[in-house]
Amino acid sequence: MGTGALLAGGATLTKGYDLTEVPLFVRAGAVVPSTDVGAGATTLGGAMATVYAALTFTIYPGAAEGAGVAYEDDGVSDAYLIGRHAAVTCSYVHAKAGGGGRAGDGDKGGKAGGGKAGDGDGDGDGETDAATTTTVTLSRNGSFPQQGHTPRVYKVAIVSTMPPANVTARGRAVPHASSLAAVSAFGAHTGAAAGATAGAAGAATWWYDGPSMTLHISTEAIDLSSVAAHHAIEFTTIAPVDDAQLSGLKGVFAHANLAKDNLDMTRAEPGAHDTRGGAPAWSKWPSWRRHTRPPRAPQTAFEGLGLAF
Amino acid sequence: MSREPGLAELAVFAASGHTGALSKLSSVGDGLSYQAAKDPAGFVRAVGAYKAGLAAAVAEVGALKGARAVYSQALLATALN
Repeated sequence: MGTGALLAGGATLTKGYDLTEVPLFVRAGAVVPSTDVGAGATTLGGAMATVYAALTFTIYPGAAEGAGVAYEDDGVSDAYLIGRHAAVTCSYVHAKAGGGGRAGDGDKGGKAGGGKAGDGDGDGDGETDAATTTTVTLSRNGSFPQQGHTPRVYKVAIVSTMPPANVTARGRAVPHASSLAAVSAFGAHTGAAAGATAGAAGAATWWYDGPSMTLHISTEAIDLSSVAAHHAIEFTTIAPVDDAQLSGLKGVFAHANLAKDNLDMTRAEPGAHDTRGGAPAWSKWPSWRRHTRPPRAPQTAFEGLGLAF
Repeated sequence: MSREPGLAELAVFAASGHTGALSKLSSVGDGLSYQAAKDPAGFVRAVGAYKAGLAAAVAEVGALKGARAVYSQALLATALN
């Protein structure tokens, strides 16, 4: 899990995590490529797939610009030694909307990286500050025979950002999705289904996931080799992206939910309800049990025999 | 021996007018998903108010006793990790 908190390097950190969490540290501003473990995948993560059916680039906060590369080859031979390989590059630039050069003045409080656009005043009023315009560029260099020209869906996830007022891809407006699932649905993992993966009808779409403070943008299935130079996605946020304000917010929501889940097991928290859908665990118990302590696994062999102490 | 919070403590919370702070905080994220597209101004307000929400949740849970409460207090204390 990631908390979205920006941390200064060169320090020893002491942090607390729930057992369900796995700490994840990423260099500020990094772009990390990944692929999904989809239905029909024959290898874990498609790591040995000849051609990835879909690629995700996750852009982390803390820098005004950055890039990441996904390398591909046929996965089985040494043909890469004679140049039969390809690389998809995802690069981004954050800038203040309406021009004004590159961002980077939002860095304060010992954060790593240069910060995104915005004056860093943290007021979030969205009135006097210029919003942030982000341009994401996808391009491909090289090729190998197995790759062909099969269109592929690309997904870009921008972590700890503000939602967009508008999103365009190659100059065309990208509509808001009906759900995160619609953006994340890559469909079958292997080859042929790639064309019908983004959104419900294979169209580009976007979704802002509040709990993770992450903007997800999915392209339509495209063949980067047929695009003249690159595939550009651009969006302007509804308000300036202030790294100091957004730092750690994702972790706050995650821990609040964990804390609530923990207390809801005993109905200890007033006004308890399940914020993530479905009935709370205690409501599934027999009615006579709802006013008693929650069930729990025996903690000792003796307790299991009714000899708790 | 620790004990879980009882109805008496819940009654105290109900009377304090500060109930449901943790529930509200835990639901802010889902609310942001909606506000991102439908209510940008509300989104900005919600993000700007999260520290107050966290403080209220910390106060609410901090007043509870019991092992579970202590664990939740620790989770909130590390929320800004």
